[in-house]
Amino acid sequence: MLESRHMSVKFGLLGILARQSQHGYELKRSFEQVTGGFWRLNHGQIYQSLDALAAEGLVSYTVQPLDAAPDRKVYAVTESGRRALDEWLAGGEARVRPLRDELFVRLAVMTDRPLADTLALLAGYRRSYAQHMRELTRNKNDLAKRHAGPDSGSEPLDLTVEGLLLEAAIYHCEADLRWLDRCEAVLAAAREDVAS
Amino acid sequence: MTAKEFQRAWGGGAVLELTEVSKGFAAPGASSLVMAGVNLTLGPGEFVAITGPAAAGKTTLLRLMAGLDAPTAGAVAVAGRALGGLGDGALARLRLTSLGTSLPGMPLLESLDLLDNVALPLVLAGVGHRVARAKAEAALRELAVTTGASLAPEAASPSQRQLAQVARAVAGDAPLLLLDEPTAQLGPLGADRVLRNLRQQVEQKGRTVVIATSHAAVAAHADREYRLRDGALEEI
Repeated sequence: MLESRHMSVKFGLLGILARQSQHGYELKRSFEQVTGGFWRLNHGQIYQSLDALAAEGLVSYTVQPLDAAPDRKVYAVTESGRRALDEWLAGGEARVRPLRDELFVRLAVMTDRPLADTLALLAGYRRSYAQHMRELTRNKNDLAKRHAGPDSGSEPLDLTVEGLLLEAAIYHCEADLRWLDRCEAVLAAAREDVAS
Repeated sequence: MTAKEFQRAWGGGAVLELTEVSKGFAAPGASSLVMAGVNLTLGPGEFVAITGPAAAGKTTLLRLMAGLDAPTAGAVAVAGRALGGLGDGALARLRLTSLGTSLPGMPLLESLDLLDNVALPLVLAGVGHRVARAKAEAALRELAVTTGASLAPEAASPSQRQLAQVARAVAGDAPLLLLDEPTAQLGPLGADRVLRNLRQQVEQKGRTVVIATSHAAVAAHADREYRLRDGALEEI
């Protein structure tokens, strides 16, 4: 899965550069925007991916001198980069995403602990997911406003896809919350059984 | 009225205040407490979701807020007035002026079409018939109910009926809106429209909105979530 994530970031950046040359920080923002704001990258990931892309000859860069700040590199896709992007977009099998999560492992190994600990753990996750869900919903509503606005500064299809990706994140989050509710209900009932 | 104007006029006091509210139902040979010691204070411009598993008491809590049920103990105040001290007439007037509701037990009237159902609370609150109908029409239009406004509830679809109930809640100038599962009968687009409309009521008019829902995706439209479980209300 890590490999697939790494490839997604690499080709995601390449896809953005295929539309317009950008420097590292712009790329970070573009990547996060096109993926609906729910796939955050740190600067290390960006520059590591860009270094790898440059080493493979898929991107090139020019150094742009700045007066008040250190020089920056502006990256552009190369011809072989475009070919690699086309191959990646056209190829590959559709894989079902593996369901792996730290919480699953935690739950699996804490069955010998007091149920109250497990319920507290679930409540903590529920809070985080609910908060994340509110953020995603706010982003979705902001996007709808941008979409309806006279000049969004973005292509309509880009906004539509951004909305669909945000909805993917919302549906996943909703499924997680439903499952957490289910865990809580089943385990709370189990605790009552033990107590009676 | 803008949100700021509203808040200035309001003076910043609580729109809704629940103090140590408990509610029990008598059962043969026993009584069961569905909620105990619930406290909640909401000011103008707050958008809150009450969540919890089925039968947790969400609807009961909303009915207590609306004065449709009385608490077993504790006090409920709406717009600075304690509901407990009010007679039926005063309570009904307070509901007409301070509350917009979409709750079970307050169905649309079959003898009126959807438009007149939406206009009815305004007319009862003293708004002239023409103005009330214009406001009702605007509220229905904002929720995209245009062609069905002249239908009797019985002839309308479940989604049109639900949208009319939401329109009835938002059409007036009540500072507090209480809605139970306001999107249960709607598809995703209709649900989005209702939830964005409620957001506008909060942001543009400074109204306070409380929705009860068992759906996380609906609750996520609110700014805060309170979960009702085992009779207690907890902010999450």
